[in-house]
Amino acid sequence: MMTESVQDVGGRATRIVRSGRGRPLLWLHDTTGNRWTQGHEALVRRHEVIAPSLPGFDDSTTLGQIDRTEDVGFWLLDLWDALGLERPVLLGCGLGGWIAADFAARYPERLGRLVLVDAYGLQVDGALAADEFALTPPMLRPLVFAEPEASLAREWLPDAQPPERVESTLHARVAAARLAWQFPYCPKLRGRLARAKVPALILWGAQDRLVPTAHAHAYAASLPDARVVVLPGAGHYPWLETPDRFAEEVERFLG
Amino acid sequence: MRVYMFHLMPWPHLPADFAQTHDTAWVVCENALYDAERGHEVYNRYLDELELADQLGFDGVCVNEHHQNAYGLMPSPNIMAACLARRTTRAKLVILGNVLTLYDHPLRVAEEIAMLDVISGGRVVSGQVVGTGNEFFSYNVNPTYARERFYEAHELIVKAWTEPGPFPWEGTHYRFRYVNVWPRPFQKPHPPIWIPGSGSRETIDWVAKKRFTYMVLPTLAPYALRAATAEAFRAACEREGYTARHEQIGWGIGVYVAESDARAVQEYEPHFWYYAKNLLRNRETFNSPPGHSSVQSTLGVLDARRKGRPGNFNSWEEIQKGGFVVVGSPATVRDRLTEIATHTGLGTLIPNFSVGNVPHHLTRKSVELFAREVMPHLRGINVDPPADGVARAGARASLPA
Repeated sequence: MMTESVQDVGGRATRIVRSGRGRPLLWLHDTTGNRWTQGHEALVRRHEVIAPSLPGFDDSTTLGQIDRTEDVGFWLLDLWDALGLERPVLLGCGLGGWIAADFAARYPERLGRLVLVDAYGLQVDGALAADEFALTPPMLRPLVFAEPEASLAREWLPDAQPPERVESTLHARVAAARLAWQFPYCPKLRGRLARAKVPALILWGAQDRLVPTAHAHAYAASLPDARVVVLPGAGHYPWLETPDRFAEEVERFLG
Repeated sequence: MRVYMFHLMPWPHLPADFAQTHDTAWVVCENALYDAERGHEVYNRYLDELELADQLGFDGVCVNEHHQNAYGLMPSPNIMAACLARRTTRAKLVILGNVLTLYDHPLRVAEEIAMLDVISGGRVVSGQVVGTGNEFFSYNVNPTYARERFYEAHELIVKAWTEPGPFPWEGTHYRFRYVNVWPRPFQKPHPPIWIPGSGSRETIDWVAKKRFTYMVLPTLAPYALRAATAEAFRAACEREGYTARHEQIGWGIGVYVAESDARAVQEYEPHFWYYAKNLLRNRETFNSPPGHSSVQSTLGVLDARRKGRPGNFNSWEEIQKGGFVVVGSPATVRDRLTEIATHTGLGTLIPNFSVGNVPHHLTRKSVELFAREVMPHLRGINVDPPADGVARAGARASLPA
């Protein structure tokens, strides 16, 4: 059963959605914010999926001194304390993947396993991620969805958000831009990834035209123990477009 | 009231099919469309027009700052003001404004404005702006810091002008071990500060508190929307415990004067549409990057602003009815501006004659007609009683010739 609570994490009111039983899997969301999806649901059979809202995403006025992924890393340490986490699986999507990779390079001993999904974070020559803040929804859909005309794409990324989502979308965009404006990477991260001594799975949508698959291979080449799985039929959000394949690969990796 | 001629310095040579082939005149509008030989003519022509305003007795001339676009060709307004400082003798030089947020060295703004103020003998007005959303894309400045950077840069600049240096500045966005600006401004305590704003509550309250001049933006928007903004500013001043001076209410507006109403519309309309359809053409994302305005004020103004964009309209009747611009014979323009002034209390009128691609001869004619047949009638309207301790125009006059 899915539960939602607001917990104090290092002085920050943090909304945490969780569901399922089994090994804890901490899910760090992408720039669109903390939304429970079919991908989350597909993992709850064998895991306790814990999905916190990243700082500022639910209310951007609380961003405070959050400035870079490192700052989110310190908040994650608080989250570990608040939830009593012990070597959970850390899964990060997009921006959350960048935060997860950065955290893994700094605190590998705190992780059981690492899953990066279409992650930001690396500077890859000739493969600069598209500028998600410059593109309108109709321009973005073909970049982030394998099937941009499908109802899923139009529902997730509509030309205009429905009234009840306008405000929350604005907050998430502000928090996302704080960390991922124009160059969503840290040039130093690649050199630091050798320290992330934890088994890692790099999952990527074959048709991700926002963050090209060259980034998946760059992650795999820099992490000490990583393999890449490219998912056909998916763009930047494989957990949305191919949730079953996505969950299957994650579960196979986690054993 | 005082009258300050504004120039946007638009690029007037976009291809005829621009609106069909481009979704924006900003940020990514390819600079292959710029032609430096025509650009040479354009810059010098526009500067001539501002110099003409000085000769015709306007109280000031205004330049502004935009980057990487066809809409306005002044990435450095201070360079334009420097050109004008030596070619004008009387008019105030209004930089409207410097985009403070873009600079990691706001001291450069403090220095350049002080230089201009000293060179011109105290004729400078320092406009200071957060900048349009576009500039944050073009200059890679994180828009979620727009307001913080603006306020901090502003405080730093004013302190650099007014307090003896050297002193250290340890801010959030700026840190300087040695703030010690040479030269210091000519006007004391510092040049007047004008702040343009498009109705966001936070800016209005701040300007009211600081007692600066608030210039109502956008210049091309329905009259009712802009009048409501002016009213909100006056109300904010009342909340601060004083009644706004007329000069604190700045009103930028497109103006065109010709021999008759019919002729004015006939001459002006195509150039207005060039502006509305081409130069204002933009992507919503570039206009409103995340955090550029607070979420609350974005929710408040987004809709009104979108609906009010002149590019959404297609007939002159709608533009005229909406009161976007003031176009007509001298009598018509005089009456309409008087009516607006009476209604809004404005004391700082900032007409823009060269909207879109109005050619030079028409701009010149319009400016001359305005200066001769309209401006004298406006002078007596909304005149403030003398202010105490505030630097005024005409400082140069007291200098030896």
